[in-house]
Amino acid sequence: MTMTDIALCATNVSMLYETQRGRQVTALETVSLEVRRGEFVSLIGPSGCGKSTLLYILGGLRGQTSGEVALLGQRMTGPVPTKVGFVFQDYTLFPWRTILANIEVGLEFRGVGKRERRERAEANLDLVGLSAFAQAYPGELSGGMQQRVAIARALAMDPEILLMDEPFGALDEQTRTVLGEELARILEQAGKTIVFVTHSLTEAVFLSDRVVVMSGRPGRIKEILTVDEPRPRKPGFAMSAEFTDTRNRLFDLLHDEMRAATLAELGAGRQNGGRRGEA
Amino acid sequence: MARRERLRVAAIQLGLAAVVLVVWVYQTRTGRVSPILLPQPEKVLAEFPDMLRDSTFWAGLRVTAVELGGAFVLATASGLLVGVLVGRWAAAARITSPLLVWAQTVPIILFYPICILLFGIGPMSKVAFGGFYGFFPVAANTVLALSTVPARYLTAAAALGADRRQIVTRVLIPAARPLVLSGVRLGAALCLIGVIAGELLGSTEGLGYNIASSAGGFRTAELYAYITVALILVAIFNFAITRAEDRDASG
Repeated sequence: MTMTDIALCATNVSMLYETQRGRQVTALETVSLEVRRGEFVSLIGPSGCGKSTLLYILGGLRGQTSGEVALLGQRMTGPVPTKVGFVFQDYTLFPWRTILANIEVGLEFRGVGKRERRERAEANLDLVGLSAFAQAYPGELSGGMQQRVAIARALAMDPEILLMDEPFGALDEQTRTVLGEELARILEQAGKTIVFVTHSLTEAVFLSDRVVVMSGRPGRIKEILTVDEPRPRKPGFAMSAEFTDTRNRLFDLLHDEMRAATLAELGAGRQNGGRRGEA
Repeated sequence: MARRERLRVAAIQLGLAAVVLVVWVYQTRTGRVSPILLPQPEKVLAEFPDMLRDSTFWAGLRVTAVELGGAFVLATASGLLVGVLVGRWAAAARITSPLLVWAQTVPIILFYPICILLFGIGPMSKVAFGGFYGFFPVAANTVLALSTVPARYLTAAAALGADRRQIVTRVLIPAARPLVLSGVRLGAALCLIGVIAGELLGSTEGLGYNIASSAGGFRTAELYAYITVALILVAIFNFAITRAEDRDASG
């Protein structure tokens, strides 16, 4: 494998930060991960395992404490909007701009001319199937629609890599299933490298080539599962034995982690409660 | 549906105004209320032709309008300046925000005598006092608006490649705009209160002075006519600012 086959490469990335009470927390500990070009990789793990932090570091939006990240063989020092697009968990469309103007905004920052901006925005809005809402404002759209616009906004920049932080996290189960299938179609058409943070086992197995399972506190990579089924996958794949097997393995791996993380959280809560009681 | 609802609300509002007018006419006709306290509506109406021919009225109106304009410019400029300086600096925002909010509950009129001492009895003291009065909501809202722009917008802008200048012009300003404008509107209303109150309390010209002198001379019909003019002035001023706001929101 040559260097240029690797879209993103994290080597021994660690992230430490201090809480408001001055406690040191290790969010990530010596995480190493390679993402190949064109690959769809999911990051999954208990809450607080640092998977979103890892995504932000991979995108250059947050600096790591130690270790290195390389983007297409180049050392990463900050966001590279021409190469890496982001879709965030929160709704980040600008409410004072129309949908079309929201999709244009990154191109505007880059200084792309008005006509080209408009054309590219319209094409990408069409790709996510929301052309009818070009002149609407974000507040007039449902959460799922807003996230599709956010995907179009990222795609309009034509980045090679798309980093997605639980883009459907705030949506209900049915909407996210439909959007997952939609996303698979859109991304296949766009041919991007994807890193996708999710809580959903189904989403992870259905969409990914590889699923990175992380363990909590400090965040480490526990195991990486490969899903061999070629993409794009048909809805029937979700019924297959391979899907179920992989999902079950993932559940086993995560079950222990989530249990440990939840108990740790409860334990910490009890300790705090005790301290408060004494004071 | 919404249109019918609006019509019904407007009809009820007109009805309420009519009730007030009927009570006013009835009470004054039957002589239950002294004409020194409340003249008959038609007497007030009859004041207008005289008033509109009177040069003191126009001179007073002009003075008040100029003072109001000066106070508004002063309040907006200083409020925005302080608001931006403080709002972009998190620590300063945490310290001053409660003070600015608290200042809005203080009877600022207490400081008016100081304005007179500093700037004399003429228009300058009204401009200063009105500007001072209107400054607080502008500054407080600007601080609040800038310090509460959601971090997620800034992160998204950074991911989309915005530089520092673009973050200010394309994200911070539009995100803060609605709250800043509502502060400006509130400030404008307070400027007007400040200017008229200043004139009432101590001046030699202006609408407030005319009102005070009509009251002092028991020319009640004239007093009511002046009050009506002041109310119309308020309505025009508010309308102009709301219009500017709406145009801004749609533009």
